Amino acid sequence: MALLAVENLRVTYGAVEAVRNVSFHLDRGQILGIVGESGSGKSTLGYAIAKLLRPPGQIVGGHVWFDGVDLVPLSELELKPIRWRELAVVMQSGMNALNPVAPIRRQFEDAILTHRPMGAKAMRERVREMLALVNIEERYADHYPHELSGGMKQRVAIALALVLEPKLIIFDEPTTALDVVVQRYIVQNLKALRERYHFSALFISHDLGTVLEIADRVAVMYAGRLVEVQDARSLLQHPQHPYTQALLSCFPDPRADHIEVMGIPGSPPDLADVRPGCPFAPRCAQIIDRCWRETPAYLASPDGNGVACHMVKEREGSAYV
Amino acid sequence: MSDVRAILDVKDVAKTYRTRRNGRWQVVHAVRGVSFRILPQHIVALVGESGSGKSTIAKLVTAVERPNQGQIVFDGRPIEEWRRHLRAYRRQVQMVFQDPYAALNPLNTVRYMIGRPLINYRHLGQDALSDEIRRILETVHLTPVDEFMEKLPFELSGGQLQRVVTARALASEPRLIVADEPVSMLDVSIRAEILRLLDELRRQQGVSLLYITHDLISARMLADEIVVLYRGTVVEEGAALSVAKNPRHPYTQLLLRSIPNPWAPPEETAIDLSRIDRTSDEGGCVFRARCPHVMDRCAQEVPPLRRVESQQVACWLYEASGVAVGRSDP
Ligand SMILES: Nc1ncnc2c1ncn2[C@@H]1O[C@H](COP(=O)(O)OP(=O)(O)O)[C@@H](O)[C@H]1O
Ligand SMILES: Nc1ncnc2c1ncn2[C@@H]1O[C@H](COP(=O)(O)OP(=O)(O)O)[C@@H](O)[C@H]1O
Ligand SMILES: [Mg+2]
Ligand SMILES: [Mg+2]
Repeated sequence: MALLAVENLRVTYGAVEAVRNVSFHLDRGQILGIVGESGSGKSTLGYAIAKLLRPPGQIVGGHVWFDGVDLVPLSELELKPIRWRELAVVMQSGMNALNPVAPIRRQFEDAILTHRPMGAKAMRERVREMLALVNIEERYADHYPHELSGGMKQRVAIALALVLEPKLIIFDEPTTALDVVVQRYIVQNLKALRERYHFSALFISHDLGTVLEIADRVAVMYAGRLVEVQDARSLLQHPQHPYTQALLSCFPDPRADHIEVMGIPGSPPDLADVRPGCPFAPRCAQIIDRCWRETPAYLASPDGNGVACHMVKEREGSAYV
Repeated sequence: MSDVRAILDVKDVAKTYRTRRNGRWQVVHAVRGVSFRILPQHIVALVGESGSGKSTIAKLVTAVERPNQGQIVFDGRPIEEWRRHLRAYRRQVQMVFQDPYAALNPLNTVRYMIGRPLINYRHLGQDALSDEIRRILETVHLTPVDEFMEKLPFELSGGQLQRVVTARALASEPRLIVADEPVSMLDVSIRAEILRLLDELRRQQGVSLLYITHDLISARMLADEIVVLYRGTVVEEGAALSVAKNPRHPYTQLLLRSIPNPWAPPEETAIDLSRIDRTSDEGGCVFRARCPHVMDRCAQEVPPLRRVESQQVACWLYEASGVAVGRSDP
């Protein structure tokens, strides 16, 4: 059984449908990357899975099966033993991930005492150990978040998410707004931590280059829908959806002799105006008539890969059913 | 290089700030003796991580701040002289900021925002004004022009807003544009268009550009030359392609290694995780605390810029091979 299975999930903010019938699953020990331009619904999807949406955001359909339990109907009280212990969230750096008025140590202690109490000495050792995992010296445990650099804060947030050894961690743009060297650090560090703690993760980012490095599988979002899911390696080599292809071309190999980036002309559709057809059609270089009339269904194959594109379907015929 | 007169010549410029930290006054060396020049119609990229002094240099060049040391010469005249003609200076040296949302008044239409510098700096009358606004909007590809003229900022996408900001900077017919992270806030998918636009402006309008970025790849794509900054110091400079593809300074090498690269095997991009938070004390090489090649000498003396093949590199590793580069003033 998959650790996480999202089934026909739909999320709205009033009249705007930000997540549209999204289905995918995440196997144990895997990292699934979720990529797309800003406004494509990545954060909304992540928050919906963690049941952290704030009004007017609400789940209006579908299921979030987490370790066999559907989280969608659960109340706050029922979610309490799951949060942090089983499912932790790491938000974008600079966001209110850490409590600004508590020293770092207190934030670890609060988490431990609430969910898995231990003695003072053991707890001290645990904090030291968790900080060491992200290469932060113990003396920083008594600092306040604002006394740390952006990169250090993000690493503390990661250590804090890990402290109760959850099964699933949802990272929302964990490397965005950090310097490139710190981004590299976080990616490399997360890979090592995963080896050790065997958590599964959703890694949400607009940065396809980073996602392809860290994720086992990648889900590409466009205008609230999944347009493609594939293994990271095959996505890098054989992106199916024209949007994935275009996005990939925005991330050149830094060692290449010649670099040319065309970008993707135009911008994503306004989610408020509902038109027929494929949402990517106005920016797509490979359209056929049908793309203007009919929204392509997301077709998954038994291995969990899938694509939503009329062109691909015509090309591949029966591979997707 | 010295045959053509530089449009901008930054000579050994330093800037310090005094700040209060944990109840004590501290001196921050934002920029420490930086020199570079920009030739007419050239693009120079200043590349460095946050805090390396890029925006401070932008403020010095645009005469928003004064250096504590050194001199900036624009079009043959020191900036201190230009200060008496600040209006003329501002007309010729325009700035494009990172955040187009913050740079534009949400209540003004595109027509008004482009029109104002045309009236202020170029004193255009009503008829000429409309034509010129149209021409500029076409230059930045905000077409069809009529559709965009009456738009307010909230009706435009991030990429379109950055075009408006660029159009406004162009309106005064500047000779130099200082663009401080102009694409950092934009989606990767629309960055390329803005970079192409900046390149077009240099080719077709003849403006020079100081392109400030933390992104080595975009610097390589757009600029003629790259100047790499670390903690207020130039550690490497040279032709954009060679600096970005074949960097010599250990810091530039670290930057290149750090760029997301799913094509490379992991060992090619792996970095030493233990040095990341270290900072060097004053004196010596600014990068030594994080440098994998650090030697005794690095703590004792500041390495000067030396020529290493086509680049100039401030690193003791190249002492034997490099030739020290002195700056001779024209
Ligand atoms: N609090 C909110 N209220 C109304 N609309 C929202 C809110 N948050 C997000 N949205 C809308 O939902 C869509 C998806 O947003 P988001 O999930 O933040 O995308 P991403 O994380 O991919 O940038 C956007 O069009 C955005 O305008
Ligand atoms: N007005 C100021 N007062 C105090 N310190 C400043 C000020 N402006 C910049 N600094 C400091 O100078 C250094 C360089 O900053 P900046 O030029 O903004 O770098 P960058 O643009 O490369 O991120 C940083 O350490 C920053 O904190
Ligand atoms: Mg988001
Ligand atoms: Mg800056």
